[in-house]
Amino acid sequence: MKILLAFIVLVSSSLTWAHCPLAFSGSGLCGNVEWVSGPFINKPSHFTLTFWKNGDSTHQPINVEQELKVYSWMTMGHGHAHGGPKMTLVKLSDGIYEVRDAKFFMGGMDGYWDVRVDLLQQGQLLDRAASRVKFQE
Amino acid sequence: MKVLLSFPLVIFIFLALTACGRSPFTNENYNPSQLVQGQNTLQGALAFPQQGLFIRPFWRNGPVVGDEGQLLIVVSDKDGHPKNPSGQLSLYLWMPDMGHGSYPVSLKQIAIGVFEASEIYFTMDGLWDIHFQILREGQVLEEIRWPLTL
Repeated sequence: MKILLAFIVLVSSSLTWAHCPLAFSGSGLCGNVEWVSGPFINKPSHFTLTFWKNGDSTHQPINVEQELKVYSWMTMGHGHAHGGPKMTLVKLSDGIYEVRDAKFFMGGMDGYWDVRVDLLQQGQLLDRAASRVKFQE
Repeated sequence: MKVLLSFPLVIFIFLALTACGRSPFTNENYNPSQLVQGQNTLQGALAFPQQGLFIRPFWRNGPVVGDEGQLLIVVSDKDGHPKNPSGQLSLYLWMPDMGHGSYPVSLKQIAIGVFEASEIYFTMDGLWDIHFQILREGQVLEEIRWPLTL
């Protein structure tokens, strides 16, 4: 019984430790996309983007030193891919950003949308992570 | 009264687009290295023959990949007088080579025969068609296509 309890505690604590929905391995950061409105098809959606230090189980938001680029990316079944309409990014506080005007559409496309987050340094891509968009019915 | 108001607007648009120097519609914040700019290849007007109407689209922003396009659309009769179509004007984007569309275009009427289209998103370079439709009760009465290469 003690072994079982110890195992459960170990597994749950490691899961908490490892929770990193957007992993920026080169920068040692984690991020998360939380939808405030949507995600919708054919009407604007809105989300917050939060960053914390990888390994921080409290997910305390921290300042992002790098330049941040947030955009949508469609990958289609036949291998083509392209971006979507430009989003509006506003920094609310250190490590917390509001993203508005996320505009997704399918328009006959067979594929899926990601929200991509790029960290840039002097214009060069340093790190990239993506969050798959699962649309509201 | 609306006709009276729309006439100076049409004159202003004509003068703005034919004047020398930079268009006042040019957005100074563009970063050309990140955008693909298309060419406005339309000479004259597009015709809805059944309704006897002509469409003259003026780009206020675009056509461009990587930013929102905005279009001013003047619908007029054969004498050039602004006139509303007999039905609802609608437009959408289609990429024929790729077989897909884009985000729905917003269309707002600002005077008789004058419409403002926004949220025009060309998401990649290549051949696009802008389809202008006149609808009534969900049925397409007339449709014309304006091909653009970006």
